[in-house]
Amino acid sequence: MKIANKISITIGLGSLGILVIAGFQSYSYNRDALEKNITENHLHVAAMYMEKIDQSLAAQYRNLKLTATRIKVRAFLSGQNSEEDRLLLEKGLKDDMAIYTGLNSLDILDKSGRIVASSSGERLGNRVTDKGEAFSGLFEKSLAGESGYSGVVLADNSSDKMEEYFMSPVLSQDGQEIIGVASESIDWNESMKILDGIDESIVRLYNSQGELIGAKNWQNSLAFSPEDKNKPALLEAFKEHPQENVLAGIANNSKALTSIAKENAMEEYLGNGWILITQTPVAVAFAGATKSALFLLLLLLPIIIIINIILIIIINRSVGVPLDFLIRKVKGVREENLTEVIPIISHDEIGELINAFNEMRVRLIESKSHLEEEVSQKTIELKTILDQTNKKNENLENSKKAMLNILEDFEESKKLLEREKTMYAAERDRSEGILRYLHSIGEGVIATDCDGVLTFVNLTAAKMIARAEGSPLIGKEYLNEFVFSSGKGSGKKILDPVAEALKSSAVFPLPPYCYLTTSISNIPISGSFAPIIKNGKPLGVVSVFQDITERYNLEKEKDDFLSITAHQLRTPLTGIRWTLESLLDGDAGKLPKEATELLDQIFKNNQRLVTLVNDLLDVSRINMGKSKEELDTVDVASLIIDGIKTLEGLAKEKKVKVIFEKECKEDPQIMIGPKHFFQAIENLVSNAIKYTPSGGEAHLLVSLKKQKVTIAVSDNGIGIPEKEQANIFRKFFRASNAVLKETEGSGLGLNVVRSFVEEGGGRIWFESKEGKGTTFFLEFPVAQARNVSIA
Amino acid sequence: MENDMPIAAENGKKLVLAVEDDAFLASIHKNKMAKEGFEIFVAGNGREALEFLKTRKPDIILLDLIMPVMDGFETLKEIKANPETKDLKVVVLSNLSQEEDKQRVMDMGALDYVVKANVSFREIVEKVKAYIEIK
Repeated sequence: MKIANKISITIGLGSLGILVIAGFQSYSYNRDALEKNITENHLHVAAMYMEKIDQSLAAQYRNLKLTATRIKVRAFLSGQNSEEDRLLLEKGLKDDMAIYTGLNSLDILDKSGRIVASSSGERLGNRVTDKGEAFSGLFEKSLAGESGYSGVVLADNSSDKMEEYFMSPVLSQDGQEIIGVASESIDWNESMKILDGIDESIVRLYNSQGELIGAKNWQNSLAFSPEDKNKPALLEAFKEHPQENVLAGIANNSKALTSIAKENAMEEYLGNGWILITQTPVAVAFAGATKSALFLLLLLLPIIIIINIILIIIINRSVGVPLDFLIRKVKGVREENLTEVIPIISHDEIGELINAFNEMRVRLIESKSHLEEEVSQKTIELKTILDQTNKKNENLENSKKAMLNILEDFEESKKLLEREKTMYAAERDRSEGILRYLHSIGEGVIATDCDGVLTFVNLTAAKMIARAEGSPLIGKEYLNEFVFSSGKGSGKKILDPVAEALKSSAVFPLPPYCYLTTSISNIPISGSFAPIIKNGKPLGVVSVFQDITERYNLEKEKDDFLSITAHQLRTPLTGIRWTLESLLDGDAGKLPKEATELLDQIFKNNQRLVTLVNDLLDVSRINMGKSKEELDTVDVASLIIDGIKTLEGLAKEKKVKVIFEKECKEDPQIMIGPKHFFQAIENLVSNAIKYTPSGGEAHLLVSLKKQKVTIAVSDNGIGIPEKEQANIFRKFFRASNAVLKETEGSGLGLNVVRSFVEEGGGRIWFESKEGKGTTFFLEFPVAQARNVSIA
Repeated sequence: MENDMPIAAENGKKLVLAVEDDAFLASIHKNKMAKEGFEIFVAGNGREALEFLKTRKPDIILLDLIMPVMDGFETLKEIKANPETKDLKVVVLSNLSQEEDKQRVMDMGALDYVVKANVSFREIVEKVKAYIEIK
């Protein structure tokens, strides 16, 4: 047989075998599960039904005992009785029968086993001992004082009616002597109908003696035999498990799954207990398992056959064909065509086989030519020795040449090195020159790397922090050497401008009121920090800063002058104010009405002067840049509420309602000088109050949209004439209608407000209609969490 | 506190010391305060005020800042430096309005800072009453 065929047959048989095993496994797995399931179900059903059976039998038994203890029965059996007494007793028995259901008859027997009274009356005088061994045994037991039951028997005069007899002893009045027996016949066909309710196809009930006493469809089957083949197993089970109700599944025979269950009887009657056998035919029980295994086989068989066919074709192609080819070729090898090389047709084991065969063939040829070769070998060896001698000479010559080459190269690199040295020196000179320039600059110049470590400090910078020349600063953290702070004293904040410049990748100008703290003093400085960028990547930060002490001093002088001027102007104004108030209050006696009016005019004009001085001071300071307040985070809503509070008096006086609303849930924060913001709000709200007729309303509305906080201050006052709207922020400008309504006012307020708002990076604009009202809008960017301070 | 500093009250009146160099304002102080039921003493400069404090302990001091001989800053410093007077209540009344000045005197221990031109005298009286009440 060919190898390819052998392999094919092996695979085919193997896969069929696996298929069969799989089918069998599936069957037995399912079968095990089904068996467990069915057995459990059997036992469950058995327990339930036997309980029912026992309850019904126990009831009959108790009834019989009741009858046996009746005085009438005892009296009847103890003495001579007339026909009348008997009839009376039988009536009593009939009454009992009517109460106890499921009985055929209720009889009283005397000690000889004769029926002396019967519910039916028909069998009077019959002896139970005549009925057979089972009956006489039962009777004897009763006479000995035990209650019991007989096997199942056919009823008298009937071929299909089953009866079961219960007998119980009747005691004398004093309870000392057994004087007879009470017997009842149970309608067994009726009693056993309980079993018909069980689903299993075969159900049999046994008593503790192993006698079959009931079955499903009992009435039809009648096929009971006292010598059942199950009897020995049952008796064994009883003996082994006297206390347990559920015994076990008896191993199934080939035809049915059989389970056996035991129930101990409720009352102490013969043998005490019942056994129920339930069977499910295997064909029914395992139908599911068989079906699924068959299904598996039928489904997989064609697939396996197809796979096998494909495998066989592949094997034949890859093994069979090349092997045939090889065999043909090998058979064709002769002396004359020894040189013919067999082509390799597949790169696998067969390919290797061909290869090996080819090699073998070559060896064959080789060994043939071996002799000739040996001779020529010797000749070649001689020649080689000669060649080697020549070659050694040649090598010596080559080494000499190489040495010369190296010397030449060395000379050349020396020249190159010298040229580079010259270039480097020039470059160094240039760098040193630049460094000298930087050192000589009058401004402080420092540079750091990205970690804030100083890489350059010029002489001016070193001097500023009072460092002796040559004291090493390079390589130190700049934050420890150059302490830049915004403000000084209690409001001082340490800055990290290097981090700021790196963070924004842009020039970071030092804020106003910036100081360089040294061991001696705080030097006011201005300057900036710029990132050093190379190829888009930051290398560090360079900063140039300047000592502006002189400028500060000059500004302070100007400021002091302004301050004193304002002071000097205010002092007489204060005197005038207080005096006028005193006069108007009537301190100098009651004034005529005209005088009061005139004084009031003077008072208002005086107030105007006060306001003018205040505003002038503000404007001058703003112009000098002096008024710039340090920015801080401000909670918009709470500051507005404070501003409104200070104006409560004015609002009351003018009878204008000021209403504050916040449209957003958050409490927006902005960066601004807190006092200036407060002043701006105060100014706008007081304008709104002043220029609104009494009974009017001023509204403040805060809203937050797209990271912008808007504060709208609106009134329903006199408004701004359209022609004059363009001038409203100009210094000293006052709208024509405003001048008419309020004589007070410098025309500087809104100019100051605008400066303050712009200081905080905000903008201000308004909408107004003459006679309708005005709304001023302030818009600020929401404050970002700052981390400038690292103190 | 009252035990430490015997308050020299005349007829049960509260004593106000106004330190004011401007004669016009000083006269208004005198008239108005007396009218309001205070005993009032006006000192023309810091030196006079400190002299007065050696004899009397006022319930409140109203202190101007810009004055000849001894200005309000120095006067306040002296008052706060002397254990006898350091607990006296001082309200600064000045026509300087710079924030720095205000901050300076508040840091030194003044109770309040009032720009005179910006308030009516009535408001000053109310402040004085309120601050005297505060223990």
